[in-house]
Amino acid sequence: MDMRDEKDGEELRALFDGRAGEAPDGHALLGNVHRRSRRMLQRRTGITAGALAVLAATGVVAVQNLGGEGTSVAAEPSASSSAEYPYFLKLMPPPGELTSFPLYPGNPLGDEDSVPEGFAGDYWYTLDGRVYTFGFLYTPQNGATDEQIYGGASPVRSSLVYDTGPGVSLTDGEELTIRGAPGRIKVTGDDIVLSWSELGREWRVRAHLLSVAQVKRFTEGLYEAGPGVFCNSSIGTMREWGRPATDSPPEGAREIDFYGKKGYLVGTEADSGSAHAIYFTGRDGTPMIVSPPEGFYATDDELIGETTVNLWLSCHLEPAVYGDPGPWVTGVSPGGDPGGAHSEFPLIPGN
Amino acid sequence: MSSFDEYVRARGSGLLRFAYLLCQDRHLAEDLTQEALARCHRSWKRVSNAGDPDAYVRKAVLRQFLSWRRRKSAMEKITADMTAHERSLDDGSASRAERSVLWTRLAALPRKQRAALVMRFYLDLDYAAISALMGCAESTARVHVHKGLATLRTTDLAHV
Repeated sequence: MDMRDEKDGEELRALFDGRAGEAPDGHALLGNVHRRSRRMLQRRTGITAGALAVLAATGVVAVQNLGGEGTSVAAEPSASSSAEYPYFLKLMPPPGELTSFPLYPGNPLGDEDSVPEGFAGDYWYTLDGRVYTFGFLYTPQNGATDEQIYGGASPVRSSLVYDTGPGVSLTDGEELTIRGAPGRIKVTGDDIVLSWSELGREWRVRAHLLSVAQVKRFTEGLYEAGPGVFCNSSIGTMREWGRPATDSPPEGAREIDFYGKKGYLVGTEADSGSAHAIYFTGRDGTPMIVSPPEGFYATDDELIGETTVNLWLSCHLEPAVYGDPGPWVTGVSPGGDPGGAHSEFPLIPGN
Repeated sequence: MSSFDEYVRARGSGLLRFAYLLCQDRHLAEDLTQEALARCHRSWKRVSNAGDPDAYVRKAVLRQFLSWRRRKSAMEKITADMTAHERSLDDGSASRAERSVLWTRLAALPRKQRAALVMRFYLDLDYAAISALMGCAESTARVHVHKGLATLRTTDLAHV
């Protein structure tokens, strides 16, 4: 390195030292890494694209295998008679692989920090006849090692999404009442279609993204918000957070239709890496914020279009100021952490 | 608390700073770091047993940066650097303004050159370490640094 390089290098050192202070502080990093890790696992197994198991109040399991990997799920009392793990959820992925995971009876309002090491999930559950879970298994279970789980060398390679309230199951044709409005569930492929005759249309959610409780919370918010708040969006392009809306769509942006309101999706914002708001600008350039439901999250990659370009999102169309995440349709505070503890968990009794 | 958690708590902020200097975008820095750590999480026992998790994780962040930029370049069109403009107006001092210009010029460098400069002058790594992280010869690492500096000296800001 010559003298000039040395001198310029010193200038760069000063620049880097100063600019490094602008980096994110990382307070939410660990939680976000765990969530991202779980999503990676889901993508690896592919099971969340298919399997949705519903655990009924009695402990009897109803399974909707929604076009997935041929995995079936069953629950049974633990053969080990362990007081700590009285039930096991048994996964039977093809072909001929068999393993089981402990179901930990827990506080229905707990979060992953409350769960004993060895099991963690975004939401968890109890088998006492009530509520409740939405859990991902991603830490060693039953002696399985990280390598076995994450390396794909073991049958222990699955995640589960299931949830129920008393008397509620997520089955094709079943009625579900949201705030007094009778609706009906239709299961089609990877999607769950919630059909509300009162509102005269269907809402569609991705089975692998939402548990029953989330579906309820989701649709409850939609119902409260009224017609015209749900969108089928294709993500066009991304624009940096903080940029003002433009009158013309960004290059490559796809036009979308929010129930007759034409516009372009122009950006996404990762909220602590777990929840995202979608920024939408109308043809008139009016900036809008589309807040996905609590519990939904995806990486920018997924949102932006390498894989998932046809997301059904709960939308909150309201003029908004960039920089303000705006209210959430579910009533969860802006920045609410889908993986954290929830003081409000508005499960509605089933029919 | 697992060793992975302990590691992230201890080193996470430093990794974010590294990622931020690479990509110059706070949100992308979070994504790069999270993605890299999540990938390392899957094989953390192997990573930690290998003895130098810092180097492994740093390499993962670097790879994320290099590949991430490639993936997104076809989808994003950056129309302006709002941060740079705001800062250049707000700073007030000539030296800060110059650094703002330098920061903008840095963003225009080829990513490998930028990464090499960050590793050399922020992490203070020697060329052997830089070449190991970048997966190239030591001489190549030197060239990246030298060319990066030369470009910074000669770049006309109007073309940045």
